[in-house]
Amino acid sequence: MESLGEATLTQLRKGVLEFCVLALIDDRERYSFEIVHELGQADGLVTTEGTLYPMLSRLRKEGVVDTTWRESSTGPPRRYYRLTSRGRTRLGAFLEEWTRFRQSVDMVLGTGVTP
Amino acid sequence: MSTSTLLHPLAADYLVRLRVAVRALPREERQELIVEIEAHLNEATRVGMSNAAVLSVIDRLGDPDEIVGAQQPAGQPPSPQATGTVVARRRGAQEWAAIFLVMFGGVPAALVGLFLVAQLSGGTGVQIPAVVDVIALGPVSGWIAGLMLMWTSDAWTRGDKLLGTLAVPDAVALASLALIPGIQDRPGPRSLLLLLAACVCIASGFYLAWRAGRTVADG
Repeated sequence: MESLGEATLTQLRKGVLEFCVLALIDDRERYSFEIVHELGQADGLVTTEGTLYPMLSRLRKEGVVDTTWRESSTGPPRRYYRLTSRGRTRLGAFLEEWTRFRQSVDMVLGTGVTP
Repeated sequence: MSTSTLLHPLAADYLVRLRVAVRALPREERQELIVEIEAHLNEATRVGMSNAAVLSVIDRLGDPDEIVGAQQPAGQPPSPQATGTVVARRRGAQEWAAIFLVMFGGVPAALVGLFLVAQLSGGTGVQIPAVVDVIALGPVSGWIAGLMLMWTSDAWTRGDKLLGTLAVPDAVALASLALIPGIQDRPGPRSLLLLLAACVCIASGFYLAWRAGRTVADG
């Protein structure tokens, strides 16, 4: 079975990764390593975990996420991330688009359940 | 904010490589990234862990240069590529090729062409033998290619690019002064003008190389 080209996969990942981060902290705040680790668990989603840190930094600068330092019993303080209202809006917009997109692609590919 | 906890030697080694890689970033952003990655290594590895396990963590983290490349310098508008593996281009192959061609693509053309014109026309007429056109064409195309490479690069500001574009025409203008009847037959001033013309080209090359090494945050 031929696998998807590297460039195509990379493009797909680039597009959705930041929204996956936003979705992860939607229900509760998480600290950097938690986010990176959890995304890393999802098969094929992250190839270079390290590049998530610059992304987190960028999301902070864009005002999409807020961070708080909290003491940790097991080591150095941890930086906890949570969504801002702007982040929540952005996530909501993406979810709409993504659902529509996914359904359309699945339908055309004939691999999905009919909506 | 750096921790004083000990790291597995392989993890510590990775951090050293990262410290080298972050030199490509503005000073303010270096420490932040190092702290984050160090914290990651502290969470994901232990001093007593097997080498294989630590290597696998480092593998998943990725190449330090790739991580640094994913960091957009402050002041730049975030692009959709920010989450990916785009390496911030400074003095890359395109930049060096542009500098070389802009500098040398034009100089031989200008100087050789003008020198031949002066020699072949005996210093009086303005006859330009066709052969000179052909000789000049090659390097001139090189210069134009160099200009295209320079303008499509993101390593330079518009001002830098304008300077780079004007360098060779200015040099040509200087060199053409050597053809003025009063100066043409005086080797001293003529050589001086040609030398100045060459200096303008070379100086512009150095300027472009220097500017390409600066990050956007430096202005």
